[in-house]
Amino acid sequence: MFVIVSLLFNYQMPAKVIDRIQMITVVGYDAIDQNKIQETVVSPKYQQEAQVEDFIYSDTAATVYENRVNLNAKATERLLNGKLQIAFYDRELAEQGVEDFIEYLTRDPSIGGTLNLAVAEESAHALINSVKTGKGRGVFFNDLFDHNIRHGNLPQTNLKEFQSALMSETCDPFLPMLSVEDESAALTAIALFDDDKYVDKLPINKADVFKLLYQNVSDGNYQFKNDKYIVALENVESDKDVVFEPTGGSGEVTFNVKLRGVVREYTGKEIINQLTAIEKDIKQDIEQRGENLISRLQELDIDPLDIEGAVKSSNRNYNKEQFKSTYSEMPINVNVSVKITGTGTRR
Amino acid sequence: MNKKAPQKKAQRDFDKLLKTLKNKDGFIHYHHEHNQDTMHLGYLKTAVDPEKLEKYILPRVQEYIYNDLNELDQFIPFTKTELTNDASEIPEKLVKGFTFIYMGNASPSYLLIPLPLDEKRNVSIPEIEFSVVGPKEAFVEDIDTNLNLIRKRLAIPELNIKKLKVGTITKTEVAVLSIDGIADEENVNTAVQRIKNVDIDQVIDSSFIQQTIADNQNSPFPQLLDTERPDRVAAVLAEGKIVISVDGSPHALIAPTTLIEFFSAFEDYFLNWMTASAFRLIRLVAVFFSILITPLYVAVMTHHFEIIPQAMLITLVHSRMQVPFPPLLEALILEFTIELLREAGARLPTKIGQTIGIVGGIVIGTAAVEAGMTSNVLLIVVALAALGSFTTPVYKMSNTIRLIRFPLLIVAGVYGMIGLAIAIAYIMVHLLRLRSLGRPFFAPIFPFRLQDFKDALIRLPFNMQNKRPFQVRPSKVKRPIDKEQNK
Repeated sequence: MFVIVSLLFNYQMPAKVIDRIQMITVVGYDAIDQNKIQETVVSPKYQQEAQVEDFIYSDTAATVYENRVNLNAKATERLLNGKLQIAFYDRELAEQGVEDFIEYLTRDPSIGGTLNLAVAEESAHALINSVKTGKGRGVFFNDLFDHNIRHGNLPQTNLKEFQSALMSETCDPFLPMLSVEDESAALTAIALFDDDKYVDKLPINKADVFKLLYQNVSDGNYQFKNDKYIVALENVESDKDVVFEPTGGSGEVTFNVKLRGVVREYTGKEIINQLTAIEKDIKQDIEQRGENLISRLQELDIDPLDIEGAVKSSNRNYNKEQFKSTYSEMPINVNVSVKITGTGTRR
Repeated sequence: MNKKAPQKKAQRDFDKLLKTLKNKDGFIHYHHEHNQDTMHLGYLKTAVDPEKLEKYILPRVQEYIYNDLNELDQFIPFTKTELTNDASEIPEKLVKGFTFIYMGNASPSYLLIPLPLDEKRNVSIPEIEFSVVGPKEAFVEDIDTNLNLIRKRLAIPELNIKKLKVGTITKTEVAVLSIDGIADEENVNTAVQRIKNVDIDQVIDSSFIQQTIADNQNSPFPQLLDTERPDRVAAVLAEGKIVISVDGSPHALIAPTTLIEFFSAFEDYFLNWMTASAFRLIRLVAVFFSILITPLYVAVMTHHFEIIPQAMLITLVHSRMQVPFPPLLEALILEFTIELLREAGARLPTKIGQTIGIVGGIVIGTAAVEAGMTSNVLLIVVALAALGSFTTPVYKMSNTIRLIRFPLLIVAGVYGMIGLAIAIAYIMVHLLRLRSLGRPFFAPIFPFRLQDFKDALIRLPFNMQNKRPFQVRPSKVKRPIDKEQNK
């Protein structure tokens, strides 16, 4: 009893009262030289009438925590990670490998798994500074990622997904990539990684096939254009299934994608008679682009679509070394079935 | 030695009695000559109903001529008259509202006529457990009236009323009611035994019994349900529970009871089962909300800013910007203010009480926020918590809910969510261990009894309530429900 009472009276949780701290919403890391990084943090100050003014602090040091000490020296209140939403790494840093910088994010219990990671094409500092918004940079970037994941071409990505891909023995991670376009930040590409090192990028307007092959889409878009007509599909839903067949030396992998969508824009002839033709055109287009994408990935010897995982899970004779050596020549097919479920009503 | 000796002794006793009584305040003594003897009539002014005395006793005493008291007794229209020779009994009887008549030598004894002054309130509508639909009768202070109200609803010979006297000074009448063949004998015996063991000098109200026979007197939770509705009493008696009625109290006690019963209003049984269940659930949610919302606010604002949704962050930070206190102190001040208002409103007469509500609620609230003493978000939170505690139908339970918030608040402010979790666990353990008349208080949740859920969190239709609650261990579990009706 005495022990309990004395514990109760002597112990107190360290208070982090909401108005006595500064919450970091965005961090950006830039490589300065071989072992120096520049850290830029954004901390919003909430003004009268729900206005948000971002304070941007920036300093350079060798480690993240050393930087934090320097940054705290500049801030009026304690800088805390709890509401961190975005972490940016510039391309140079990403090329060197981001694992060391992800590490501290996963170690801090106050940082959630839904934190977004992204690569800044030029400089994270410039990217953060380029944003002009009234709701705070953290909310700005978060909303940007959120609606692009939900309805756009960006596949599901966050710290948890990235780390699981990084730790996985079979697949490689990817991240969204942003750059400054017309003096404002914009989502421009998907950065492809080999392990934790950036190797290539895929423009975001071409990333729809990547998303179809990576996950089941629930509300996407698809545009198709040839010399006869342009068609745009909305409300695209898809189911993805990867099948491995152990034929020949290395076996054969087939992506089966079932796609359903509604026509929203069409510039050709009477649509009712053309549906089968449109479905066929789209099918061929996706299959071709998908196979091109995969052969590019094979050339780079990276596997963000987790083909190895699919093989491993359905092949008893799977052998890591053998797969590695045959991956770049492996026949991988994309098989798409398209169904147009509606054409909209015209007045 | 001679025939007159006992008469002389009686006369001597009477003179002595008269002498002591003359010193008593309010003693009134009539005497008039009658057949050579003197007739004496005495009573205490404050204990006797003057109307009955003047209407029925005095005319008969004066107009007619009697030879002795027995003859007089025949003409007096009261049944509970007594004849006694013992003069020492008289003072005790007088304070109970008796009037004595002494006829001197003709018949050397006393005729005692009960004429107690019964000042009682009329049966009125229930004020605490008011219901829009359903019966509008409430208990009054007089136990006989109350028992009559119950008997009217349960006119069966099986209704068993055991009467006891409690309190060394007040000698209050306490009645234990149960229905033979339905209520568990053990429950009745436990209640009777505990009431017999009550060792206090005064029992003014049923709350005294409620507190003294409680299983755990150091618990903030009331363990006997009090009600002012005779219809509710009749209903629970038919369920196999027992009811304790105390003279002088307009509240009867129901036992054994459960925690959840405290959140069921009797109006639930007058509404359709779906509506009733929905409102009962709302009440339970309101209670959890009321207990937890302020501690949660304090814990989150002090320790766990990480879990605040981004959309709320601006509002919360903005509202706290001007406030000079830490959230715990701010919440304590505001909770204290609300309790102050409530207490002031309760102690003042109704009309001024309403003004206090307006002054407190609007003027102090707005002014405190504008002066930057409290954040307006906390003001909303605290007001909602107070509102939630008022949805509890039983006043004593709503007091407990208001009290429980304060330790939780402090623990949340000092130790954050961990502290809050431990404190809630502590309260849960306390509730699990609590008993009502030896029966588990936290039933039917623990011990888990699926069949008792029909009238716990929700109230199922009557034709599904064909078994009495198992928690009270009724002697007869099955309820006679007409099965033909449902075909």
